[in-house]
Amino acid sequence: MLGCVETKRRPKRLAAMRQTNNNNNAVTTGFISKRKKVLEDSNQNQKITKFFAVRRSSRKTGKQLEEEEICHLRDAVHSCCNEKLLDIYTCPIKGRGIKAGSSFKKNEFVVEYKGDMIDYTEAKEREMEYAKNPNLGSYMYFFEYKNKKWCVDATVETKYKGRLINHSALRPNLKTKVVEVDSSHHLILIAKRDIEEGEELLYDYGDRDPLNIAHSPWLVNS
Amino acid sequence: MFEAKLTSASIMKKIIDSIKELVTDAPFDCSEQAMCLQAMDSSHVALVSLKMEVGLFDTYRCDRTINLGLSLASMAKALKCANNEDTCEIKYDDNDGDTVTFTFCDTKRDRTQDVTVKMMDIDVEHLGIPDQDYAVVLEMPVTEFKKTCSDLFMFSETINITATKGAVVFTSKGDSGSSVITYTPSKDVDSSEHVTLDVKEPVNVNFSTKYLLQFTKASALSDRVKIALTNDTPIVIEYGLNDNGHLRFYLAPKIDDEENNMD
Repeated sequence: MLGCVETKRRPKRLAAMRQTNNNNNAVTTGFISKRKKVLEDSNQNQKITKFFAVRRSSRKTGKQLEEEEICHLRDAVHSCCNEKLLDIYTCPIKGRGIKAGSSFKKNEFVVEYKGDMIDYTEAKEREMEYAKNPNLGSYMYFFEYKNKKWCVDATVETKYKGRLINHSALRPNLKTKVVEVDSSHHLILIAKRDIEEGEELLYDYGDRDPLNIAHSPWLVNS
Repeated sequence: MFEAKLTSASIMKKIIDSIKELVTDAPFDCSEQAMCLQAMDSSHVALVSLKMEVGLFDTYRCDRTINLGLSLASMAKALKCANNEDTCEIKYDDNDGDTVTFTFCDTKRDRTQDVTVKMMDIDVEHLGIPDQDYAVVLEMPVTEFKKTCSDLFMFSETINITATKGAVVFTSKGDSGSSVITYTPSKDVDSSEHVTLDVKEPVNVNFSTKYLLQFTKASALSDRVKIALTNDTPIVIEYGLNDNGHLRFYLAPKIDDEENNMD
């Protein structure tokens, strides 16, 4: 008897099976009518995804690529793996600088400008403090992010090389960018154009303060 | 550039015919080693995994890993044009945009036919299938398995498979009656009809008969079928492709509460 019900009610094609499944949102409570019994049967099928985890598709959608890029950037920022691609060199005029130890493609992440991420007020206090010591170089990078002024203070000597990259307003090959990684923001340097191995890395410090220019004319003419 | 030539179109026909009702659109992953396909059925209960190794092809060239998304219905249509003895060449040229060309060649009659199929952008979820040792591995002639599935389908939606050291039992219980099929390992292993059974641990699992029966459409591909089972794990039904790949079906087990439903 049930067999008859089954064959009549059941669409033969598998494609229709899901609909049958979806129809059944009532897993019965003791009372089992014949119809319900039939539907329940098909609902007992478990999903294969319960056993085999979904992997990233090898064909990527635009959104996936974007996500992957963010993921890649996060790894790069966290692991500081690019530090080893930068070589420190010393120039008699400018002091220390950085040369590319490998080539970089346009828009590729090069290195993070690593230091203390501080707000504007604190930065100004520190700046006053640092000004008392003429031997300290300028390693404070001021920028605006989400309508707030921030500063990365890299005055303290660290192993990170982002702070050693020299300035050029006329022919920079890097540009700064603020990125959000795991809900904190980071100041990173990305390639402004394709960069060859061995080129000196340069970016525009962006400082146009007339007083600073008067002290350091290289801010605009290098 | 992707170019792969099969000596006979029949194998491709058989593959597509055996899966086209289960899977509508399929992404073919072509690499240097093989042409692969992994796809779930629309209700995500079963998984098809096809691997056509380089050795299966007459000539094979794949410059870079590419993914050809094709509608199996259009592919079946294309393959319908081919005679079984025709050679079948599958071609994709990056410059051609979004089409795949099937070239069927009848060498005896010097006739070639090109069929172009539009590719599809399929957003698929690839499943990671873990490498695992199964508790039970059963091998038998394809005809035998097909008969078992169709016999049991007459009685119930659900098939119960129980394996112990000495035997494997397929049971289906319905309101109208029931059927129990038992296999014991054959003594005469040289016969092509023999059944081999390797049980590491006993299993007792339930599957949808409808799906298993659907899988047996692949019976044309091979003489033997390999079935691997572990408790609370999808069953694997494998059809070999001339030792150069396989067509595997995975099916998730049914929830085990037969006490409430089968009585």
